[in-house]
This record gives sequence, C-alpha cells and structure tokens, in this order.
Amino acid sequence: MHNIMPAIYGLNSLEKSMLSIIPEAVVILFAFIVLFLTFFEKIAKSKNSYYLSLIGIAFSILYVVMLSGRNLTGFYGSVVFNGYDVFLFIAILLSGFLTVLVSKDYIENFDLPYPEFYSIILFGISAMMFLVASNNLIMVFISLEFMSICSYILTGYIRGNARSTEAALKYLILGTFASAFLIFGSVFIYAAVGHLNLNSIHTYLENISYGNNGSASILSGMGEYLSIGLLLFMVGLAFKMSLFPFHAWTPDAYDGAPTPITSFMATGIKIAAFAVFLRIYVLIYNINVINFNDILWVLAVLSMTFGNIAAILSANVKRLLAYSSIAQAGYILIGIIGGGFYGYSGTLFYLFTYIFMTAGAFAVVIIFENSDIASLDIKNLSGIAYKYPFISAAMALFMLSLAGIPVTGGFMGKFYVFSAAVKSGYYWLVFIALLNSAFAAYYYIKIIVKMYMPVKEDSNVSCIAGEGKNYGIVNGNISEGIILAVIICLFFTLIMGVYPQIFINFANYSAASLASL
Amino acid sequence: MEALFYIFAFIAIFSALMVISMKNPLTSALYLVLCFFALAGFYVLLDMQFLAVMQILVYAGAIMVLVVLVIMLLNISRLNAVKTDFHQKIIGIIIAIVLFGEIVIYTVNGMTKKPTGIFTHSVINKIGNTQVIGNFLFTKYTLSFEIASILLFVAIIGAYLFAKKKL
Amino acid sequence: MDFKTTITWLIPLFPLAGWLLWGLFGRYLKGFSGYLASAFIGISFILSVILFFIVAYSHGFTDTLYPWVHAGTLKVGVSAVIDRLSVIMLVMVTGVSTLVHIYSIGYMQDDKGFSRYFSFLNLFVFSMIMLVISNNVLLLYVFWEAVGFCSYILIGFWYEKKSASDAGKKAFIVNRVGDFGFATGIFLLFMTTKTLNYEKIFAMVPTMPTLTVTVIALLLFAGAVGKSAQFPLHVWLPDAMEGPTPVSALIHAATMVTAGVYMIARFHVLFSYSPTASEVVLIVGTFTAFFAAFIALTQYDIKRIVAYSTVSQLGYMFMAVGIGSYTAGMFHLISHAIFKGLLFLTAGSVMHGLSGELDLRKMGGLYSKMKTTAITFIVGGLALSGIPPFSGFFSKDAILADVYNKGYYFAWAVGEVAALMTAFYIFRLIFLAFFAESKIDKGLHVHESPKIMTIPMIIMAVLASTIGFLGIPPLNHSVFYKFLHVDFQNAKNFAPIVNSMPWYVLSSISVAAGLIGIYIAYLLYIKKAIDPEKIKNMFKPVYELSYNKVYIDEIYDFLIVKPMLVFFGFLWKVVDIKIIDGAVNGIAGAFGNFSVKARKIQNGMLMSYILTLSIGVAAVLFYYFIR
Repeated sequence: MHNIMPAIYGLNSLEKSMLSIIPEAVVILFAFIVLFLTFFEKIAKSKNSYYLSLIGIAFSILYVVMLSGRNLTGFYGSVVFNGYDVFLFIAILLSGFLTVLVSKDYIENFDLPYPEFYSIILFGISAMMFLVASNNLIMVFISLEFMSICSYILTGYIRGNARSTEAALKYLILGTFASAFLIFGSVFIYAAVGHLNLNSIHTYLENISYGNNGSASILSGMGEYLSIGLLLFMVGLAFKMSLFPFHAWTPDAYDGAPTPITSFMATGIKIAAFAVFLRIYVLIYNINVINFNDILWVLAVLSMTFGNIAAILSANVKRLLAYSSIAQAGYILIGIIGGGFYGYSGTLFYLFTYIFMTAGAFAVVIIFENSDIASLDIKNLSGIAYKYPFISAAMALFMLSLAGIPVTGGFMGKFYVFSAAVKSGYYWLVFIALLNSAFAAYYYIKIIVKMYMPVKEDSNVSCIAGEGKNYGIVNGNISEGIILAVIICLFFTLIMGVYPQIFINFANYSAASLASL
Repeated sequence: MEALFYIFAFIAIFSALMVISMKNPLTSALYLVLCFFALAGFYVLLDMQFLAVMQILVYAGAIMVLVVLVIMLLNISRLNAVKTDFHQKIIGIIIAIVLFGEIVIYTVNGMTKKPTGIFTHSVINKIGNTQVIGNFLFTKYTLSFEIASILLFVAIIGAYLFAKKKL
Repeated sequence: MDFKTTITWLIPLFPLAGWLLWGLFGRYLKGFSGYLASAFIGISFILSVILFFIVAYSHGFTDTLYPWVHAGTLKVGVSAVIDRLSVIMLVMVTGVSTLVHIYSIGYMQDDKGFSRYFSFLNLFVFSMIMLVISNNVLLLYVFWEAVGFCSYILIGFWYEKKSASDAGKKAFIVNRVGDFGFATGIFLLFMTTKTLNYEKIFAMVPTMPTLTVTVIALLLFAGAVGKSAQFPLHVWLPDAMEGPTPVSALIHAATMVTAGVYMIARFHVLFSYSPTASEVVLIVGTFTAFFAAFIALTQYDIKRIVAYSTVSQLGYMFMAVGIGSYTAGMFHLISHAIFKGLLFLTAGSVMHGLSGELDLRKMGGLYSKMKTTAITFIVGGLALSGIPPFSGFFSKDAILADVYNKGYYFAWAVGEVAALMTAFYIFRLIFLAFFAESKIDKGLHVHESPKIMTIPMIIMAVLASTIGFLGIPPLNHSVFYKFLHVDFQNAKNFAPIVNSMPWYVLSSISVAAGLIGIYIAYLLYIKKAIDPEKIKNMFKPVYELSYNKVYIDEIYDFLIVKPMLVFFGFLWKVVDIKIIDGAVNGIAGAFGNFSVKARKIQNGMLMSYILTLSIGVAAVLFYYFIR
C-alpha cells in the first residue's frame, strides 16, 4: 500500500503547493489575527481590526501581483493559480476591500461586535478565492460551502433585528437546498466519468467526444449521468449567481443583511460564482454533451426580464438594487453564452465593472442609511441631492452605469458582452437584452430624478434646492473610509468607460489563460 | 448483498419522510437517527466500516444527542400546525413527483454501462479501509480537509455570535 | 500631434473643462461662471473657424486620440473625422452655442442654479461636438445618448415645476424608443460589417444585400425620428419647452434635434443604397412637415408654436435627405439653426419682458415697447416664411426645387402647402404679439431685455438675413453646394433629376405661398377683415383637431400609457404584494386568497421559495427530454 499512492498521484512539490495558495493563506492568517483581537478587550474596542483587515487584503493583493505570470498547480491538482485567478483574485479582493471600507460606519451605527465581523468577511474573501482557484469538484463544493457559511453568518449579523435573522435563516435553508443539488450533481458527474479533477474530466471527455473516429458522441449511459450531473451542478451554481428560478433568496437576503454585507454578496459572491461557473463551463459544459447554451439562454432572458420588472415595482432602494442584481446576472450570462475568447473576456470585464458600480451604489445607500432620512424608500430620497451633492452625484453616476448609459463602465461592459453574443449569432438574445436594458433604464433614472428633482407635493421632501446649507463633501457622521470607497468606485466606473483599454487587456490576459487550459 | 441495499434504502427514505412529516420534533429527531443508521449501513456495504462507525458515532451519537437535548431543554412538545396552502401543497407534490420521475428516467437510461472506480472490494480489503481514507485526506484532499476544518471553525464562531446575548 | 489635430481635440476640450470647472467650483465663481463659460465656448468657436479654413483650403482628415476598445478583432478608437461636413457643423454648433451662452447670462440672471446651468450647457456642447466629429458608430452612439441625457437634464432644469420634470421624463422615455432602434441598428451594422469605423462600413455598403441595408437604415432612422422629433415620436419636443428658453434655442432648435439629419447625411452612403429606406425618410419628413405646421396653426403658447415649427422644418430637412439632396438638407439645417435659434431667443426675450407670460391671448402691442425684440423676431419670421432675401428662402427653396425636379410632385405640393401654413402661423404670432391691441395686464411693467440678451439676437438676425446668400447662384451652382458636395460623392444617385423646371418658377411659387400666408394672417388679425372666431366655428372639427394636437398625446395615453399602467398595476398586485412583499403579507397568498390570514411568515415564504426553486430544477432537467 505504501507504494500505491505515489504511483497514482505522482509527486507534487510542497513548495509549489504552498505558493499556489499564498494569497488565500494571507487572508486567512489576517482573519485569525483579527479574531484574536477579541481576546483583548481594549484592543478589540479600537479600530485596529478595521485597519488590520485592510492591511491583510492589501498584502494579499500584493502577493497576487507578485505571483502573477506564474502558472501553478497545487495540492495534487486541487487548486490552480494562473492568469485567470490573478484577475478574479484582484476583483474579489477589491470587492472585499470596499466592503471593509464601508463597514466601519455601519457597524458603529448599529453597534455590532466588530472584530468578528471583519474576521468573517476575511474568511469569506478567502473562501471566494478558494472557490475561484479550485480545480476539482470536492474543492468547489467545500469552498462554496465555506463561502456560504460566512455569508449566512454575516447576513444575520444584526442580532435582535427580525429582518436580518429571518433573512439569514431563509438564506441558510435555501442555500442548503441548493447545495444538495450541487453535490447530487457532482456525484452523477463522478459516476459518469470517474474523475473529480476538472482537468481530468476535460481530457476524458475530449478523448471520448473527439476521440477515435472524431464523432462527437458520448458512450450510451454515460451521457445520461453526465448531463443530469451537469444540469444539477448548474442549478447549485445558478443559485449563487441568482439566476431567475433560483433567485428566491436574493431579494430577502439582500434586504435583510447589513448593507455592507449586501454589497459584499452582490459583488463578491456573484463574482466568485460566475468565475467558477465560467471555469467549469469552459472545461466541461462547452464540450458537446448536450447544448447547455439553450438552457442558459432561457435563464438569462428570464433573469433579465424578471429582475427588471420586479425592480420597477419595488419602492425601496436596497430591494431595487437586489432585483437589479438579478437582471445584471442575466446580462453577465450573455457573455458566457456568447462564448469564445471574446465572450469570456467580455464577461470578466463586465464582472469587473459590475463590482464598482454595485459597491459604489451600496456605499451611497449606507451613507443614506446613516443620514437622517426616514427609510430607504425611494420617495424619501426626494431632493437629497441638495443636501449631499457629492454623494448624490456619485449615486447618479453609478445608476447611469448600471443602466448602461455611455461614458460609464457599465456601458462598455454591456457593449462588450452584447457584441460577443452578436458575434456568436445570438441575435434574439441580444435583441431581448437591448429591450430589457432600455426598459431597465427607467428605474435607475427614477432614483436620479427623485434625488435631483423633488416635486413639491412629496410629503417629506428632505430639503429644497438652495436651502441645503451642507455643501461639504464629508457630512455629519460619514467617515473618510466610506468616502474613499465611493471615490474608488467613481474613479473605476469612469475610467472603465473612458479609457477601458488597460482593463480589457487585463481581461484578455485572464481569458487567454482560461481558454488555454 | 443487493437485498440488504434495498432494505437500507427503504429504511433511509422512509425515515427521511417521517422526519419531515412528524408533528412532534422528538419523534422527528429519532427518525433522523434511524436515517443515519441506514446510511451507515450503506458504508458497510461499500466496505467502508470506518466511515460507518464514524457516521454512527458522530451523527447518531454526538450530534443527535445534542439535538434531542435542545429539544428537551426548550420543551417543544409539538409544532404548532403550520398553515399550508392547499394549492401550494398540490404543486409541491406534483413537482416532487416530476423531479423524482425525471431522475429515475435518467438513472434507468444510464444503467447500461456501470462505471466503476479503482477502489474495488479487493483493493480496499488489501489496503484496509481506514488507510485508504487516511491516505486520501492527507494527500490528494489535504487542502479540502484543511478548508473544511476552517469552515467548521467559522461555523462555531457564527453559532457563538448568534447565541450569545451580549458580547 | 500636428497643428490641425491639436486644434481638433482642443475644440471639445474647452467645453469639457468648462463642465468640470463650473460643476465643481461654480459656487465660488458665482456670476462669473456665465462669462467664463461663454469665453470657453467662444474659444472653441474660434478654433472651429480656424479648422474650417484649414479644411476648406486643404482636405479632410481623421485622427485618433487614443485607442478606446481593442479586443480581438474589434478596434474602436476615440477618433475624429474632420471633413467639410463636420467642420460646417462644428462652426454652426460652437457659433450658436456661443451666442446662446452670452444670451443666457442675461436670461438666467438671479437663477439659483446659475452655475449648474452653465455646467450642463457646456457638457451639452461638448457632447454635441463629439457627436459631430466622431469617426465610428460606437462613439456616435455614446454621444447620441449623452446629448439626449443633457437635454433631459436641462428640460427638467426647473424641476420644482412638476410639468418641467414630467417633460424631462417624457423626453427621456420617448427618446428611449428611438434609441432602442438606433442601438439595434448599430448592432446589426456591426454584425454584418464586423467593424464600427465609418470608412470601412461605407466601403462595404455597396456589396451588402439591399434588404440588410434597408433594415439597418430604417433602424438608424428610428433613432433619428426620436432625436429629431419626427412623427410619431415628436411628442416630447413641444413639452420640452418647459426648460429654459436658451436651452430650447440651442438644443431643441439648432443642434441636438438636427443630429438626426446630420446622422443621415453622415450615413448618406448607407441610405442612398437603400431607396426604400430613403423613401420612408421622405414620407415621414413630408408628413411631419405638414402635420406639425397644421398643429401650429391654432396654438396660443408662443414657445410651442415655435417648437412645432421646428418639428415641421426638420421635416423639410428629412425630405431633402430622403431624396438624396444631402447638401440641400444640410443647407437648411444650418440656416434653420440660425433663424430658429433667433426665434427662440426672441421668444425668450418676450417672455423675459412679460415676466414669463407665454400665452398669445395675453399679449399685443409689444412692438412699441420692445423694438429690438420685435424687429429681430420679424426677421426670424420672414426667414422662416421663406421670404427673400432671408436665409429660409434660399434653403427651403433649394429643398423644394430638388423635390420637384426629382419628380416627387406630391411631396412638393405638400411642402408648398406647409410653407403657406408656416408663413401664416408665424405671422399670426407676430401680429398678435407685437401689433394687435394690447391685452397685457396693466400692472405688468413691460421692458426691453438687457443688452447682453439683445446683442446675440441682433447678431443672429444679421446672420439670418445674410447667410442665405451662400445659396446663390441657385441649385447646383451655389457656393454651399460646391463646397459640401465633395463629401457626398460616394452616395449612389438613386433619385435622378427628371425635370428641369427653371428655379425662378419654383421660387416664385414658394414666395407666393409665403406671401399668401402672411396676407391671410394680416387680414385676420390686423385688418380684422374676417373674424377669426367665425372661421374657427366654420371649420370646427378641423380647428379642434389642430388645437388638440391631433390628439396624439391622448392616443398614446390610451394605447400605451393606460395599458402599461393596468399591466403594472396587475403586476404590482400579483408579483409585488403577493410574491415580493410576501415577507409582510404571507406568501401563501400567491396561490390563493384564503390563506392570507396565515401570517406564518417564514414558513409560507420559504415553502414557496423552495417550490420555485424545485420547479426550476424540474424544468431544467426536463430540457434533456425535449432537446
């Protein structure tokens, strides 16, 4: 028995393995450090945990940058680190960074225990990174669960708040339900091909599909197992991506969770889920088992349409953003359906812009929450632009970007994925998507209109133009951190619309290393 | 062997159904224990005695005892009847049947070729089932194993955060 | 970068810088932002003139500022095409903008949003300049949206007025309809040609199947219909008059609304290879020219009259580009920009003098009180009516002569009738406002506008009476034609000239139409030879039709808005209350009312969530059987 294992698995150098998970390991290390701060009450009550988390994320980014360009496989092929991961790690870490930045005010406002909060955010970030990096089905499942556990805890973090707890419970139960499908699917896949490693499955399928006689056929029996496995697996991931019939948790969890966490879920989780789906899509789904694009096509259309209709009907900003994120997931999916190098790079680009516009919008929502407005109902935003000119201008830009109005990152992203789909011949899909985004612009603009054009009849106009005495950027109990987050988001949203070339190159580099797997 | 499999399968499904349909939480919990036993039976059939024992020890032994204890502590005698919608129930049942049917059709269609892994009975018996698991956990799946441990740690922190009144 | 490219990029740079400066530091600059903004635009204007002479005496060029999107085979740059077409537009846009900026200093005085106003106005000028010079479809689309956005903000500038913010919303929504077509057209164009660059697209057009060209051209035209307020998407423009008057002059008369015409002129290759699409353009243009003039006959709001006249004049331009007379269309675009800008500015001056009064029925006898305004307004009115030697005569006549000579007699006849109506309604306005007996409140202190407003008006009036001479000698021998025709040589000549009616015959018919219109107005409102009320009663149904704007708004309300409201109300009830807001009311209600009492929130909700999820799974798995 001692000689059987190495023969099967070969030798992997420990150094290489360790190197491949350094960015994640750094985040976990800092998560533990932050957690240990709770032992010392004096330190715990200070802002150390906040700064430590930021430093940890910054270190991780540093390591990612240092490691970029390498192509590493670690732990017997469980994880990989290549250009694809570089892009997505940076995306996830930035999303985490923004989340931590915007959390401080919120935590102080709601008096939440904070070293644990930051610690779990860090754990969540590492889980997302593991999910992106994972290269076998067990790793996918474990890191997905890890990520989910962190988000369940964070969703219900406001103790004693019924909405928050309820949201966490719903999310937990639905999440477990979806995970069951995911693992059920993995089992079928394993039963069909006898491999858990994504690369091995890929090679195995390629040999079968285009093997001896070049015909794209699948052994009878195996095809059934494989397709049911892949379909169920897709359901599990679609849940995390909040695509239409599997979206049910999204509005409630987004609404109930503390707003920084909503932002984290909307950006981080979505990116991680899309990233892992894209990797598996390229490796497995893309091989002609059955035509998955038909299903994805329908899911994309349904998500866009449902998200937009529900968003139009919602009266609350947070809920509106939740529904809009469902619609956005539909748009992102179009890039994957479009496929090809161009489509993948477009998807990645879209994901990157999506972080900044969404995180920015949520940062503004947090500022509104901390200010003196009664609730996050859209009607309460009436005329707020004259009280917080800078913040409202930023919000307007994020909304325009989400609506896909030109000169913003959102427009470039949409244009990129739509043209990829057009290139692959999905005309109707793009037509529907265009119709949808034309339709969606309405509710994004509605927020801008409310902020800038208060109508006198509104009962609780916060303030009337010209009377706003507070013209300063920093207002009341808004900290520098959140302003910094807004500025970062603004900067990226604009730069990705005006000069997107660097990001496109980055996405291309990333997509290239994905496609060459 | 095959007869045993069907028996265990029947027990597992039956007890799982009972878990969700019983009004009394304690009865539910006990059926859950039964379900875990049935699952342990599968492991035995697969020559994984170590897993079977762990299943019983950890799930049926430790976890279920905790669950039962909590139920008794909270003194939940009976769940208040949840008002369920008749239509919803019907749709639920139909969907469940459809799902079940679909999976059955898939599996039946896929029966023609049975894929087998490398760990057949003879290989496992040669190496020893505990060793196989150990080897996997410390070579191929080290990372997954480690992440699972962190996951549990985070889950504990989460439980602590939810449960503690004042931090 | 050499001299000419530097100039090219400096032209949009100044307004852009202006936008940022007044936007960010406006509150420190107070009133100065107006002067500075005008100066910035003025510099842009001077640079445009320099560029004009460079291009006029050498030749056009293209330049890329930086590569914008390079991904795979898709290569799009932030690049400009500077040829005779775009420099003419540039000079017009920056010139009119400069005058309007100067005028606005007086008009917007004391407005609390003074700096904000100039900031947005500069942003608009920047977007418009970029729209004009953009060298690829994507950039065009970007700034196509951007000008729309600026117009939307500026229409709703006085947001406190509900009507203003509603008008802004209306403009936005109506334009979305057109822009959706435009975006689809661009995607279709990209799909067939695999490129976004103008030159490459135009090189490919002759080889493309006619049907594809037609579909693309029609979709692009849909965008133009929205932006240039043609029937049936014209409804937003009259409402847009809720914005400040200088905005109407600049955006809704001179520049943005003409973007549709400019776009077709720019895509002349595409349109000329599809006679069908061009025919549609002609039909829509002709119909709108008549239709809007018809509505304008009976309106009482002076700004709305001028707005409908804009819609009608844009119709003439579309007639021109619809028959392939691109130079004639552009000529009318330029001359119209000047005289219509003038009309709006003077209308604003009237408003200013009357403290915001717009209703014709409450005016009269203004001539003696505000002479400058009156005279400049009459100059604008004469230009609009096509009376020589004012510019409108030359440009409108160039179009109508071409329409006749290319054999579209019916369109020509409609155009002449519309010309008659135009002359009538604008002089009805002039007579009622300036010459009829005064119906102004005695308490109102009527005053002439300050110099800062009248000087731009006088400059515009001088231009409106002289610019037309570019149109002689007539027809294809004119200065303007010879200058611009170079750019349209690639167009396919799909509508050859079939008649050679001498120009003086056609011109005299047009002038006669104009004079008759004016004379009728004179008879009705000055001489009082016929009582207008009598005529009103005589043609009651027609009058009602015109007065109520052919009920287009009501029809839209009935056909689109109401059903949408009903639909969304239904959705609201079903989706929102029963499903989405189930968190409050119990989701169980989604499937039947009788369990609404059940307030077991979590259970009810979760059950149905899981149910949706399972339905989804079942459906996804079902795909395997039907594939």
